Amino acid sequence: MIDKRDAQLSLGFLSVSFMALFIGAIAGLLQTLVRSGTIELPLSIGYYQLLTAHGVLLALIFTTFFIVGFLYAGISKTMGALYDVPRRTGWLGFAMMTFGTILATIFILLNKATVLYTFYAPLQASPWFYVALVHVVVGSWLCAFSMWNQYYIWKRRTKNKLSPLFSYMAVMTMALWFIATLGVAATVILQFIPWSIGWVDKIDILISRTLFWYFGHPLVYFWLLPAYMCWYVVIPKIIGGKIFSDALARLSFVLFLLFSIPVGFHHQLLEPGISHSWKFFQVVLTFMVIVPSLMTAFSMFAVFETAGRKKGAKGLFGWFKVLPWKDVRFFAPMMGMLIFVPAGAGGIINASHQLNQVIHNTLWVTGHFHLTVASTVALTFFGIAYWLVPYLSGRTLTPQMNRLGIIQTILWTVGMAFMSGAMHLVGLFGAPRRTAYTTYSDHPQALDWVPYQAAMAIGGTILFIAILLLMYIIGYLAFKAPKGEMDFPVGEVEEEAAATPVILENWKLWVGICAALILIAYTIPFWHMIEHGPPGSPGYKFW
Amino acid sequence: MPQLQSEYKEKVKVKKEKELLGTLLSVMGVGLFIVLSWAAVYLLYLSR
Repeated sequence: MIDKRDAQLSLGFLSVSFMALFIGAIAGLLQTLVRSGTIELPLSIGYYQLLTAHGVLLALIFTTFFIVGFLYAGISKTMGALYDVPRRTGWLGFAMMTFGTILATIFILLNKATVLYTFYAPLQASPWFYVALVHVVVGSWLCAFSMWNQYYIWKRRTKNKLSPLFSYMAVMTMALWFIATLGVAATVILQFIPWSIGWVDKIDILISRTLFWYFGHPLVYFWLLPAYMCWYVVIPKIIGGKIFSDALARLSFVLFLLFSIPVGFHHQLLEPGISHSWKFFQVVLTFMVIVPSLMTAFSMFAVFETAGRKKGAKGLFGWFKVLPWKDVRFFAPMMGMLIFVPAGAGGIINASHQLNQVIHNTLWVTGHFHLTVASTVALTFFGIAYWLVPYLSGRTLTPQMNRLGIIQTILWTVGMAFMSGAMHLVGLFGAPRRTAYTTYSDHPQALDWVPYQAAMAIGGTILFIAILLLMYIIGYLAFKAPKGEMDFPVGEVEEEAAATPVILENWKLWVGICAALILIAYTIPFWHMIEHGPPGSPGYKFW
Repeated sequence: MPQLQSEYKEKVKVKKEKELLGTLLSVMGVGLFIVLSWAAVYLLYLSR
């Protein structure tokens, strides 16, 4: 068991995370029912209001709070109890983030911030919505500083010993987050807040979107890296195997840092005002991420095969059968891993310049990020929560809850297959995203989309049932499960694995290369945007 | 003695490589899936 004070800090973050998940999931269910034409919203609640609530509470709040809580628990486990300053800074970060979350939620529910998850200009929210987002981001920075401080003190006290793999990955994840959020902080503080208050009349949309996507793509990796931490460090222990290679795991995280940030233009491939050559350059960098992704795939398969062979598995793929499919701590993340195969393929399609024209702004894209963040990441986080919540609460994961967890995972996978599958297909037929239900005056093409939208609603309903089940399990594990000792699974490295090169922990080098790549990828196009700046746009509030 | 150790390490390495054939094929399968998915949407792009 980690230090009780660290467990409380971690539990604080996880609590807000699951509350946000529940509210966001209600919004998601209503969205799918409206979008299929099944219901009409009462009490002047707007579809786009729900869309904003769903996106902000799930993509930003649920994920960020969960990740920070998980990282604190893992750091305390692998580097020892948090020192006083990092712990106090962590609580300060928690307070700021929670205040920001409550403020943002209030303004979304008041319909004063119906600007969708991307809060693209020229849609304009109340200034308080943007102030709330600043609190969430700055609070998360405090958490990053606190984790780096813990790491720094630990390194100094151990005379520069190689850091534990989990803690190294946590430091890297927060480094990626900090560098990425500089972009969103810049656009919110320098553009959105003065514009929404009325200090300036107009906003430069191209710059605001560019800064948003400078943040928006690495945000995906901020979600994914903690899932990878579970796969690399936790899963080997759960399945009775060992980490394939410490060096390979660290190298993959270095590559994610380098190649996940200077790539935002692949979200703006159809955006005017950015030259094709710079878009092409960033697309090439985007595809570099395939390398650490396939390294991760190789590493995980190798862990499974090695562990399976030790258990006596025969044949080319016999090891697949002997994996602990009945253990939800493995089963949920494993389903996330398997779903990541089509999710990754979809990502490569999205980032390909020509193919992007087939799917841009269609429901395909919505289907894609429901496979990445809402399946791969979410299922891994659920799998983590099933052992982390009782571990932090001093309780145990009972066989009954384990069974319910497996049912919950199956429900989630089936629900997502319906919803995301239908989104992908109808997206290829041209159905747009970010729109409420309409048949476009009974246009034949739009009428063809209706059955797929019904499938989305069926999937959304199954997913909501899975969320209810998840809430019950998490509540039970936190407050009702029998008291006892749970294990925080941290794998050991294979004896035959090569030693980890010291250079992988040279932060100045990797952060320096990362900064250089960002400057190369963004300086000239950004200068062009300023030099040929458009007149700007006033704010619009449609709903 | 160093020669014996080196031979042992070599044997372990060969054995491990043999053990990871399923891993290699699995990753190749993932790669193939990605290429086929990409090609399918590319054909759709060409047809439009």
